[in-house]
Amino acid sequence: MYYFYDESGNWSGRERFRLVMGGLHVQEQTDLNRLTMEFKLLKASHNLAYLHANEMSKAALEECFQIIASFLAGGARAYLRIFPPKILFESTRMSFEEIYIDRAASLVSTMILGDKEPQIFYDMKFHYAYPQNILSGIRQKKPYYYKRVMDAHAIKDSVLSAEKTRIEAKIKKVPKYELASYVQQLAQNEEQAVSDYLWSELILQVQGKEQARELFRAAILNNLKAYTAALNPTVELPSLNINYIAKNNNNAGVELIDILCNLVYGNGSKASQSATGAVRNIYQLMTIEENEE
Amino acid sequence: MNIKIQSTAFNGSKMLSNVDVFILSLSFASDKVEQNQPLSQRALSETKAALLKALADIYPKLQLSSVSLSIASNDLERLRSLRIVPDAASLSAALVNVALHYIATELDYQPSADKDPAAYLSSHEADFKQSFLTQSQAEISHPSLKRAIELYRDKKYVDAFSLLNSIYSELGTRNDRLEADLLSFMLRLKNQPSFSVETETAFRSAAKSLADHPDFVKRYYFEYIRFLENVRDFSRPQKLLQEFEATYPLSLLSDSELLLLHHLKGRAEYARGDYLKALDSFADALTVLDPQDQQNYAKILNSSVNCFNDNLFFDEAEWLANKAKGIRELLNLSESFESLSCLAGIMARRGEHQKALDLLKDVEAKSSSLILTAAEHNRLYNYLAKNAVFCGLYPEAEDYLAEADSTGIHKGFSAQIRLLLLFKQQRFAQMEQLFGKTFMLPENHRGEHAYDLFALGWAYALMAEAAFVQNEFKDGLLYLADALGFFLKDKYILEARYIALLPLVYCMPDALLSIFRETLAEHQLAELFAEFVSKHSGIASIYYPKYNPQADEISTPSTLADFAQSLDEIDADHYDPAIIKQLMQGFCLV
Repeated sequence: MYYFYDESGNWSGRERFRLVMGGLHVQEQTDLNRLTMEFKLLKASHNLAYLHANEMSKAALEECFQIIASFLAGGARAYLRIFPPKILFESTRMSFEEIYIDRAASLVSTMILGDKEPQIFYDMKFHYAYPQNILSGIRQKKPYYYKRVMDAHAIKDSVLSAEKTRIEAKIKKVPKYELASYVQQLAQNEEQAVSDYLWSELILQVQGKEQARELFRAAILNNLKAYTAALNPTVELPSLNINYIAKNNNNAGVELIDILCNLVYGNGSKASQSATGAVRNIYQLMTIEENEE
Repeated sequence: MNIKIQSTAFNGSKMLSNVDVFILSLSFASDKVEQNQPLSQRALSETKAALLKALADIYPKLQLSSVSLSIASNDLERLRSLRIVPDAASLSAALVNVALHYIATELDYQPSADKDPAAYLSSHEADFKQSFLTQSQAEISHPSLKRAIELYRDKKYVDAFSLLNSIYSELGTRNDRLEADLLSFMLRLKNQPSFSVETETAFRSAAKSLADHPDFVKRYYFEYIRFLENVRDFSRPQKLLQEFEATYPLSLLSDSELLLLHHLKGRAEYARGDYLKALDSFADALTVLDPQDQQNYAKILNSSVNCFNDNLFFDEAEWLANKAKGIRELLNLSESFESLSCLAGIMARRGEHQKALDLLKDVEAKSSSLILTAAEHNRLYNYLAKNAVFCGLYPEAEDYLAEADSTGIHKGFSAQIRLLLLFKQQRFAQMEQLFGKTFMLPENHRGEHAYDLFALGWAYALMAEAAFVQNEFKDGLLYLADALGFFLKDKYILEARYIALLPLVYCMPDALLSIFRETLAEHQLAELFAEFVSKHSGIASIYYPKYNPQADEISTPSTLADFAQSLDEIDADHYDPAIIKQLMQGFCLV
């Protein structure tokens, strides 16, 4: 069976409103194919590159909600959990990221329990490419396969200025103590400094996601082990197939759960008074759990 | 009792679940209140109907028309939280078996010796009528047993013991016998000065034989936990609570039991360095605290002090410690020395070591009439020694350390303070000697006799500082990197960030400083510290009002936030070592 996950809200400690995490369960590939095709047609008719609630017209969004409502009515199941932002501030020993992984793994393991071959698609947010790390990464030796590409490429003039502005904004938050000579380098040879930063950032993104996915996989397996040990020690643990999918990769399952997470982030556990019929239907069909903790 | 039920997971997969279920009460009186139900109304109704049908088959003449049932099950609650839905028919059939087993056991059914419960029940109709239809099986029927319990409550333990012994053979019902056994265990605890293997065995044996009676089991657990608390055994109660929680639902507990649970959980979280979880548990304890119960209020206050103090909220910590001390003195409780000790800890962290030393001497005098545990004795003399060192009273510190060592506890704290003493005296060669014989040994880093990571971290940091003082920067850097590793391993983020300032205070050469900065970045120390500050700088505004609702709203930035702000303002290329030294002297973390 197929499972798709996403979250909403700022999970890196700067959320005041609410945190949302959601999963979509789809039994059959054919159901998924149908949803994919319906989303493709929706995008074509409204000239959209990908589906994102904040970037769709009212008409497109309503049409999207109708597709989702009918998809859920057809047997797919959406399960969303709402958390207060304070959950991120309740442990000294667990970092924001560890708390995120813990909650995400709990949702995934609850949904896949009993499935022998779950296919998991996850749009994860992990925060490994911190500016401090990036600056430190610049000084480190790169693997040869990266080095070869780095040497063969030069930054385009058209993006240099924008990237420099972005980097300057990012490193503003870095303590002066950590900044060392990078600011000086940026002033003296901006092309090289910007290029170095971008490569370091990319490498860290890739490494960080790999590390995070391993931790995530381990956390899911630990949960499944604990559940089965408590409830039925004879159940075999599944082989986990976790795929990282960004929502602009046009994965219909991830797009759908992204839209639902945003919807619940905005409205909470109940549809707003002014909600359309499609949104009300969606709310009736979703399983929403509000965790006060 | 363990049952197997068919169930369906969230994704529709079918599975067989093993579930432990306990019957709390079963009655045929129509007015009995049902509680602690992990079952849906529908499942409960179906189970009761099926149970009445099964009993009608066993006792056709009795015409039982209603039954009330109270069930507790951690596993059924777990199924619900995992969105696993039990198959209604399978659950109901299994619960009927549990109920029949329960009824039979109340009539002295022995599962290993007797046939199945239904057959046993059909041959014990008269006993069933007597136990379930003519008297409440949960009430004590023997008047002398009731009197013995009253005597116990009035603290007349000898009289209670004599009376209980004289009536044991007369007790007719199972419930009376179980109550008598429990009273006997409670009396045994009253006669016990400290932990003993025999008492532990008696507890274990009772808990095992009563595993299917959570109401009784919980009373054994909590009587035993309170006893261990009273004899100042702080590690066993936490393990016992974990054991209890793993099997039985917390909904069984009374407010006073919940208070004990939250308080002990808070202490355990503090001991593992999770201040925020500890404060949450203490806050939970306060919500179930009886407002008249000043003794337990003082206990919670006292346990919370260090969560504030360790995160540099000195004023709030001082208020909590003083409040606890006041209550304990008013009630004339011997534990008031603990509150004094907390106050000394606050003074020490503020860097007011003479005040801390004076308070600790007071603690030493007050505690001389009490029996301190070895750990308490060791801690007290280590604190005395540390503050004596900071006051420059080196011979006095030596004496205190000798006293601390006499306890035979070797977690590295006394050795670390001895290292501090040598550092303050600039006896660097002796420092190296001591370090080589203690902190450097691999067996003190891992395994059963490993030193505490906090002590290891500070010992390596002291060695680093000693190397820096002697301009041996490479050695210092190696020690410092190890110190960081020890602190970060146990999430002492504040301590790690603090010692990371040492190279700046001692003007480490640029080439080495660059390597050190790389190490800090690899550890992501700046990010870890920023997260630590964002999590902990709100401790006072979130938790302090729970203890002191009259407190003014906190508007000034915390010492922790101030410290973080000052660190952010340090310019890597143009910093003044004197200012950084001053920053480090703002408080004392050793």
